[in-house]
Amino acid sequence: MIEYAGVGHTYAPLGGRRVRAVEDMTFTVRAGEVFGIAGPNGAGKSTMIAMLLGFLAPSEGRITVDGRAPRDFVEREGIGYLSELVDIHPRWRARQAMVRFALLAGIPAATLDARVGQVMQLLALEEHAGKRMKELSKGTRQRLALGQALLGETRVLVLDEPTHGLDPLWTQHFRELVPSLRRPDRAILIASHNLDELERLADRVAIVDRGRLQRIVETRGEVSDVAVTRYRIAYRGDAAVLRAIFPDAVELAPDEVEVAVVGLEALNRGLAAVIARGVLISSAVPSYSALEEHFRQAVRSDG
Amino acid sequence: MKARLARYGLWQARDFVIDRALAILFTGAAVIFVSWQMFTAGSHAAIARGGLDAQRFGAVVLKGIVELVWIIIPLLAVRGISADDRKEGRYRLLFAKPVSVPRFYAQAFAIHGVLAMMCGALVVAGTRIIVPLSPISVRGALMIFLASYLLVGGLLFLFSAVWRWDWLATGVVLAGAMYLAGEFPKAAWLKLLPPAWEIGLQLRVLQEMQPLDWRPLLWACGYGVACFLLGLIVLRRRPLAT
Repeated sequence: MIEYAGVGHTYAPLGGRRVRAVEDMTFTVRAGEVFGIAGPNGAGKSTMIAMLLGFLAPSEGRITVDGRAPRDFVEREGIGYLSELVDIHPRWRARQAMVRFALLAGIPAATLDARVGQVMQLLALEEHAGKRMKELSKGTRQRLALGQALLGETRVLVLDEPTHGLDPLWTQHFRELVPSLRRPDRAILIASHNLDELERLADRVAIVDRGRLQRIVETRGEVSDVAVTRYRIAYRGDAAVLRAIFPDAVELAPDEVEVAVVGLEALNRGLAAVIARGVLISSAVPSYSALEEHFRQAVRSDG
Repeated sequence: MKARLARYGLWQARDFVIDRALAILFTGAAVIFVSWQMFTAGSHAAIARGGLDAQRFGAVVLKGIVELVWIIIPLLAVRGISADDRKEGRYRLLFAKPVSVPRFYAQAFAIHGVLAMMCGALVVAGTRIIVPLSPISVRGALMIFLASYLLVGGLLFLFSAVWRWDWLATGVVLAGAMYLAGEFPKAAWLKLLPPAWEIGLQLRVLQEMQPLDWRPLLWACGYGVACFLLGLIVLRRRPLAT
């Protein structure tokens, strides 16, 4: 549904230094999928999204949304978009802002009030309906911005740092909300720094760094069997036994080591051998989630 | 789904009233008040005499007031019309909706134009409170406001589509055009410049209570409309995120 084909973008300000923000980006986001984009600051995530919405033109390559140029698609159907920076006129009142966005989203007159009310209720915004944007807390503004993205039943949803500024309770609500937004004909794209969040919500995650796509990680199923994963193992018994089975084990604390293995089978084989030699295992947990592990491998800090 | 842009026009009108009309009317009221404060005993005597004398005096006062506000009204009405949304980042949420960017701002320009003309009419009505005005003066002032909205507003619209310092660029271009027209009144290349000096010349006609010459005003309107159309092309083609 969304296709990036060899996409690059170079910022070339008049008289300024040229900055290559995105380079040779190729991937597809399918309808029915939740697709994550992860990357450190300055990786090119915002530029990728600006190009998807037609706010920037690629310097090279091509982006299509349902076979159309981005701006063409947006002007025909609209994209439910939550921007990282919530820029809504500070004088607008919350409900007023939602009504304006509903008009622009093309919600018919007959259902507009009901739709606005429904979304405001979903995000607990009714009590703030009469407040101006400048009077709202960051989290409430974020909820309102999420609400305006959900007003139209768009086939593409783009959520840029959706839980930025939300308290833990609303972060949890958001995580419960996303699965309910899935539709077979809808592509949902979430850009986030929060790898844990992406791992919970997305089917696949693109890891970008320094403007390049480093890898795409399937977050459902196979990850732990293909990547090198570090585990923290707490044990009671002879440390020499652990070192013999896991020669690369790094001691973290008394009775705790970190080991690196590829796949669950290797881990379990090793643990079975350790247990067979009389060592008791009290816990074995990944040091990093599978996605974090991929992220660490993909994003080098030497740049 | 397509945006319900026509209905959104009511919000654009509301924004104009709050953000711009009050400033225009305040400026107009201030100019009228200062003009009234400068009346001498002779002025009051001319008004008291009534008839044609009073209307002639009224035409002089009206010319003075229109001369001060004919650039200010479109400047306040159109300044930053599209550039502010880009500068403040508001374009992101607005134009992720199924909205055509040129159509959105073309509608805003039209709505601002109608409301700016109403403000101009209120300035004329305010002037009529302090001096008697003949119908020909009233008509003339409104024609000047219309031509100036299209000329100055069209230029502002174009510059706003291009960059954020639209008011500065418009001011420089208009001042430059008027200066060059004064220095080289016969030069053929003056046709390329915004004919702001033509509006200046028509102000003299307004003062003399004569019917305005519609040809230079039409030229000014045409020039402004051409700039506006060029602005729409820029808005269609330019990336919003730069």
